[in-house]
Amino acid sequence: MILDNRGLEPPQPMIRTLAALENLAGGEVLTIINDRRPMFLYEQLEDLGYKQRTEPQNDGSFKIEIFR
Amino acid sequence: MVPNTIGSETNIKLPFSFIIFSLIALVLSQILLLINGQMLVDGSFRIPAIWSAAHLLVLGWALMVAMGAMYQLVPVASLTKIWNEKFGFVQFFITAIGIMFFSWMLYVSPQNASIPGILMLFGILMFLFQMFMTLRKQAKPNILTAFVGSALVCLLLTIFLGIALIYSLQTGFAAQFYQAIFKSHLLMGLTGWFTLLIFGFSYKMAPMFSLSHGFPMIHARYVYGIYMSGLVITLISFFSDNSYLLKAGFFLLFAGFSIFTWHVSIIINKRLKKKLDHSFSYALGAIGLGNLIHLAAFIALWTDHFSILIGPLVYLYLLLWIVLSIMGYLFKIVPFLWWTYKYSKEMGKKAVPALKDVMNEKVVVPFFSVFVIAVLAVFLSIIFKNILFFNIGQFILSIVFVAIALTILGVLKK
Repeated sequence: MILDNRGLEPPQPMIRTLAALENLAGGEVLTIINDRRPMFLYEQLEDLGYKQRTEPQNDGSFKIEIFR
Repeated sequence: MVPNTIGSETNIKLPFSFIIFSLIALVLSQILLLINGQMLVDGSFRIPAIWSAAHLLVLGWALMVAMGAMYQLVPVASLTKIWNEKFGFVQFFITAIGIMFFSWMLYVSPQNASIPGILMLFGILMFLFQMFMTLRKQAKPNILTAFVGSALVCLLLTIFLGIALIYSLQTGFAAQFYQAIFKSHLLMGLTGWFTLLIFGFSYKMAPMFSLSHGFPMIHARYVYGIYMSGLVITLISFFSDNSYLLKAGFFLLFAGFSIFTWHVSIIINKRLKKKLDHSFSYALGAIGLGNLIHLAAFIALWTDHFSILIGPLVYLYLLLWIVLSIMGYLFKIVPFLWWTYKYSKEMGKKAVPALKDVMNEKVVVPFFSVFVIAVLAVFLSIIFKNILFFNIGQFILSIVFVAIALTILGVLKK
């Protein structure tokens, strides 16, 4: 599943991401695209037991893959 | 390519330069107070060492933190890039050198402080210009822009009122307005610049740290409208010397602040995160304390003791509302910034420390509790003119300040 969070005001990207994670099937990867590095999301992911991989994109945004 | 400088992200080194400088200034200001404790015992408050320490605290620490935080948060909140990052670094160096030099001059040779003061002023004006150019680019101004923009206008007014004070002292210019200018300087600096800025940023940070959404934002307009009219009416009352206007102004400030408190409580009640972090809880507690102090100031106006009470109340307002808010948020923001700077690129590639291991949250409750108690002790000691109590309170306060600053700086070793 891919979630494009660009152009949204914080904390909307975080809320959307956490909501999407609730509906994520086991083994599935959630990919989000954010304007900035989601510093505060990392803490939440850690608490929820998720891992992530962040990659800067050429347009200045960040792609984050979230998985168990 | 440095990934930190593209998109709407600010290069983390910029806010960090401000924050690290501010913590060093905080430690220095407290060391100055501790060394000169004896003079305070003798009851001489208006001595160069105290001027120096006070300016290091308010300008070197609080103003520099606020600037650093704005470099980080304004792009996040307004979805625009900082106008010119290089200009930001130049601004940092000029302001930092200006403040250090200015505080040092106040200490060794106050009559010559206006020379480095000009350098400092230039740095702050550069900052205002930077923010003006950044906010101008914002596609869709919102209520936050109003808060932050008005805060910046108040900062500018504070500076000009401060210059007017020095000029008036030196030349006797507008001497009959000296008291009014002095009061306005405090009003614009504390209730204008700092309070409006914390209001504005709290609307971003409270939902972010509590994971709140779906709350109404309409209250913010009333907060802004009522608090701003309170500022304007109070300002007019200072120059017209009208006690009814002063009461009306203080009431509006209290009313605006109360709506803000109520609004934040609505936001917090809509949160997803069950347990709030300690440091953030203290920042929220500071809102309640600020509200109480506004109420106390309004009530004091109706008594005969206003002239005795207002000084200590201003002290309380600065420490328990402004400083406590900034401290609470700093404890939260610094580990995030540092951790992101150091580890976010390595995450997923190798094992990195968990975010919660970066900052020792356990120290928050004891540090902040002692801080609040020490401030109250100093407040009471000033009212009751108890010098021993004052010294014990101020000594403990300085130690806590230094401990907090070192704890935050300690994050950078992780």
